[in-house]
Amino acid sequence: MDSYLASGHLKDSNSFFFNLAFELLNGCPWNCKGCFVNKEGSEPMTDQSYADLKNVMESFSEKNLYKPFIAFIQPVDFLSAGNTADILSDPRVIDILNYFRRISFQTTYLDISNAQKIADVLKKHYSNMELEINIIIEPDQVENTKYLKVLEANQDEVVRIMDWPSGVRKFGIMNVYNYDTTKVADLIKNYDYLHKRVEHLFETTIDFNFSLGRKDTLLTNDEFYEAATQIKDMFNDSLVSAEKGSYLRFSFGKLNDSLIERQYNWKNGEFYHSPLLYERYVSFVDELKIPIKEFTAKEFEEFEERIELEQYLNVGDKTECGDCPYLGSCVDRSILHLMDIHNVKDCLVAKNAIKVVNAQGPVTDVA
Amino acid sequence: MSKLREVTVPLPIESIKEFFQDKEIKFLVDYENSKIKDQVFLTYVSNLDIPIDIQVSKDFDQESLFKLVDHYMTVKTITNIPFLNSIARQIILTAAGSKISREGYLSEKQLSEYISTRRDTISIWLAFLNSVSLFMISSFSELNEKIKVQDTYDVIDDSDIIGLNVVNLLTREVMTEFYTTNIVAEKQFWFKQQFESYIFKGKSLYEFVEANLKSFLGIMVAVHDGKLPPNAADYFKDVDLDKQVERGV
Repeated sequence: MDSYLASGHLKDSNSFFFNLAFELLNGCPWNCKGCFVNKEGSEPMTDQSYADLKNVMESFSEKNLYKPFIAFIQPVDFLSAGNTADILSDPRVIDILNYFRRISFQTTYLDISNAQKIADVLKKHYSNMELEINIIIEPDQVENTKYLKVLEANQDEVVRIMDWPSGVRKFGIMNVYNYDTTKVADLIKNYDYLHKRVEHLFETTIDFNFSLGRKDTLLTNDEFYEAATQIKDMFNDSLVSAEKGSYLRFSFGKLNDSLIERQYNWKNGEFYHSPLLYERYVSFVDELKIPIKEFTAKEFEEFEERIELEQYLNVGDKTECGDCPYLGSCVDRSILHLMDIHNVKDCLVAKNAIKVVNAQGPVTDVA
Repeated sequence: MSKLREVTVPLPIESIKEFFQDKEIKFLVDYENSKIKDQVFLTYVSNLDIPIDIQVSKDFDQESLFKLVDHYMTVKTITNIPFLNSIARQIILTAAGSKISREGYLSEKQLSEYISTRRDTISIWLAFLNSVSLFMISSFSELNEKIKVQDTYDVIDDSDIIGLNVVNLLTREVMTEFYTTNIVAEKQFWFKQQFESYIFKGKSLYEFVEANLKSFLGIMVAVHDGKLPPNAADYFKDVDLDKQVERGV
């Protein structure tokens, strides 16, 4: 596996990676379980927001020791959204997105009738970028072979249509919700089984998407804790192999790995912090809004430094974090910030899996 | 221009950026004025994993220093901080009976006070260091087929039994002195988790002792033969280790 992720040790790095998720797409006919996306909530880029973004991109430059890496285009299925081609043809959007190395979309692959039109736009304006298409899979459909066959066939067809010179990067996403409400709860709470059913559809492992964070109001503490605990229990109760562990490293917290990541969400002209709890955590509540006026990297850095310090200073009110060797990687991924927002005291992450991710399994041959 | 940067932690992003551009930069942390302390400080430094040392004033509060050393000796991560490594070395070698390596940051009085009030922690460090020779034997399969150290010695199967910074003392200098001193003979154990897992920040113990392998081999052979001279470090310089190994232990 090559360096598909913007992660690495500080001692080996020469810059920060800068990822930005853009809320630009509207319209989606699907009703995926666990999806709380406001399907018509994305305002187009305006001259003002473009100017602000331009300032941000010029500030997050290589000269300032940042490498713009992934531009995520959100929040809905890009093949089914009503405005994908129009948005991607907007000269302001083209200018901003071309600062990045990779453009990333997500899709259910349930309707690919717009694929050619979108491919034409992508080839015209974004051909120098890497292309990443994440597949959204309904967890309660993992036993539905016909459904999976359709996804596979449509994915193959879209990849053929895109005909991307550097190939299409493929990752898998599942929404997090109360899996006990499904008829196959036992199956989909078994990570190994779940993964085996769908692993042929993407390159690495399933990313669990806390879409419920997108609710218009701040999640209740119980809602947040239950969702996070469900994924934690799934991993802790499953055998995570070393091979899967090597893929899970980004979302799970390889020691020393997350410090050089800088990841944010942009919506309607505002910037929001994006913690990493199994996957990028997207929410547009005030608690995650980044207070900026000049649209410079310096303002983001001041925010990062404040959040980092607060997390370390608040360790004392957590039950497990104070003496946990993974504390640093959780702070780097702002998990303790999420815990503070939701008044969570107990560990949120799957430590059994983290041990595998950090290669702390048994030694087979020491010599 | 000096490559040493005096900082407090958490490191400002500007300092990280400076390190991006020059990997030879080393950070000297003003611990007393840093905003994070104790175990959290050690975890933070461990996670950074870049060259860091700390400095404290000569009149640094003893209780705060002892607290930091306590955490250093028990924390479940590795923080390679020369200042704390040297204090641990001073404590352990003194506790082991060394008459040579008592000098260091701690005064004789402080050493005595620390050692007398942390007997459990120090005992397990001494036992672990004394047991590293078992691990070395196990690394040579032919040798271990005869000795079977895992089956011969009492097993401690507890990943939390000892702080992981103990590996910072696995240097040729410390180990030579440790084994050639009239050490407090702590019992040897097979530390199952520490000897058999990648518990040391994703590394096995072997990666820490490998650099000292020849020294250890020489020591083991000499101990076995009862030939340890007064100045063991000089003795091992000229020993033909291959011949020693061929002779068998």
